[in-house]
Amino acid sequence: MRWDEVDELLRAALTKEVEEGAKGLAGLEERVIRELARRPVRRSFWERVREFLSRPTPRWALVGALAALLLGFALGRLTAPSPVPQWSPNLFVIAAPGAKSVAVVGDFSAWQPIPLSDPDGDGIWSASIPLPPGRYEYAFLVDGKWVGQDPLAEEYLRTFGEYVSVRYIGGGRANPSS
Amino acid sequence: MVRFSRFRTDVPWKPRPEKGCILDAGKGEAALPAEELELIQRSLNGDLEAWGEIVSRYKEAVFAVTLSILRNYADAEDATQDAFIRAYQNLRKYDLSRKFSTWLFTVAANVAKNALRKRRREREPPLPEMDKDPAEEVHEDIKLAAVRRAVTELPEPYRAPVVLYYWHGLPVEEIGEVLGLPAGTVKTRLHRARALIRAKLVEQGVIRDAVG
Amino acid sequence: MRTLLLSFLVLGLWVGLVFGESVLPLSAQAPSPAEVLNYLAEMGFSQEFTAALSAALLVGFQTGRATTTVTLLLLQDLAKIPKDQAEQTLEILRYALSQGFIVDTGLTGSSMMNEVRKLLALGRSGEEITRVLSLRLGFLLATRSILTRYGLILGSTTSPDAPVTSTDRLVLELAWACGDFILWEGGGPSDPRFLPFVQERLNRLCIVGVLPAEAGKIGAALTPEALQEIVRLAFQPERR
Repeated sequence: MRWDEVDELLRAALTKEVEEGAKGLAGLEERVIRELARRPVRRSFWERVREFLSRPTPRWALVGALAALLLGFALGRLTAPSPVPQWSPNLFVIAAPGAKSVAVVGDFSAWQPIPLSDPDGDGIWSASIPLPPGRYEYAFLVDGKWVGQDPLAEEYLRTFGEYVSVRYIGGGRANPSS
Repeated sequence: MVRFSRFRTDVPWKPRPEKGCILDAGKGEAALPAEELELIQRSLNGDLEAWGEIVSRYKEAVFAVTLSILRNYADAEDATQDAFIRAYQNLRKYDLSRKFSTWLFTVAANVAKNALRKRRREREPPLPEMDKDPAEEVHEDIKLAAVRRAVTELPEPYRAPVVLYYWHGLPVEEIGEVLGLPAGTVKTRLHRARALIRAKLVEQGVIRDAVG
Repeated sequence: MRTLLLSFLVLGLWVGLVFGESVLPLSAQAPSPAEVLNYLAEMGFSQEFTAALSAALLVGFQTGRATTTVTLLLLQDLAKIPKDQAEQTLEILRYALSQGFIVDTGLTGSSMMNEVRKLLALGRSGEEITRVLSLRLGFLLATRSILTRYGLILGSTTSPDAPVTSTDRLVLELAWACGDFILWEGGGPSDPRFLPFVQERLNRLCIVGVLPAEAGKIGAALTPEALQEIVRLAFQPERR
């Protein structure tokens, strides 16, 4: 058999393989749209600023200014300052729109739940937990249900079939084996 | 291991086109047909239906990429969906000077490779559902089934180049771009893959030994 | 006007951030050893067992092999499961302490005590927990034995009274990595992934500062045969 005949066989075989498998892609468009619609839209900072600045001016400037000051202070006090928290290794964040309670459990809490919060109700729950350097296994509890796979995790382990995620915190030192 | 870094520092900064101004990006000849440019522009504006249209156009091609890496239908389907989600979320990073399909296939290949790494139990994945009873197959299908099996059994570095070359029909340079390989490496892997497949078919008596 | 409002908002935000951090505290004040031992005394075990465990825990707290925070939480959890299973679990921990092993690294990583709490959080039975803990103990014993035999460590103490050393931590983390691979990764002792898995774990722990730099070199000196020996010994109950 000539090489070009082998090539033709390859093309035909791959076409058949992809065709058969592609039957499972029916409805993929809807699934993708549904999933993306479920996730929060991240508007850029400038979009949010523009939106804010276009609002009508309040009547009482001083009252408005004071209210703004107090509101800013309260926001800063209560939780992360931005609806989309600035990522850091100590930040635990999970998208769980519609959830009533979300917590993280892990080595750092001796597997006691630490509640996460979603102050602006956009379905992004987060908590910043200062951790000393180390290796930590953890998972989320979303309305009491174990959610072991954090997309931000570096590793996963399966314990009796349930996932736990793993993070390494720290690392100012160079890799000693390099 | 997945690197614990959300922001890539190895990609040089490129000015991002203003939202809604893709046609004004001034990058010279667009790497997309106008209709597709419009769909992407609308997607960037948050029009998920437009992205759905992109999914519809490319889903089979993306599936072929993920299947070549993951080797089973179920995982490839999941990775295909993840790839489109990831691509949408990173659409602002798409560089107009690149072909859209190349960029999309690169995203898909990366998603599939990550899925492969995370697949903890590295048993050989189940072969695609092609193992029909040989008695039910006609002669032609036996040959195709043998070729499909031979491709699936190829060493991992060879499969994706084979699919991208023979199914997608991409040139070697583009395959290199998708997989992050030099063109020379792609050529070598294609050569070897072809030889391996041929040898396997000869061994199984599916084809005769002599070329010509 | 809008600019003014925005400025006040930003100012308030800054003041709130500077004078009121929004991070969660990791833990409340740690309980005292006496608090922990009092709790243990009221759990209803035999006097003999309570005395032996109390003694082991006290020494553990003093030498750094256990912490009062996690121990108390563990006891509170174990109070909710059948007493015989709780006692079996605690007996394994007592034995591990008596052999000089670290059973608890506080809230800074995985260890026998934290693993029990994790398994309880996952709703596993007392029987499953004692089985896992028993294997973890096996890995600790086997790891120390093999590392000593191969000359890779000197001075990992078997005495529970001596303060914990970095070698003791190395033994713990290596045993843990081996156990994770066999128990949770589903790998076997001859699996070619075993050695890279363990080495990667040790390297990562070096990078984050949990283990000293030497651990990376010890990891590099490990062989597949050594790991297979560890697994073989870990599963031999007659060794204990």
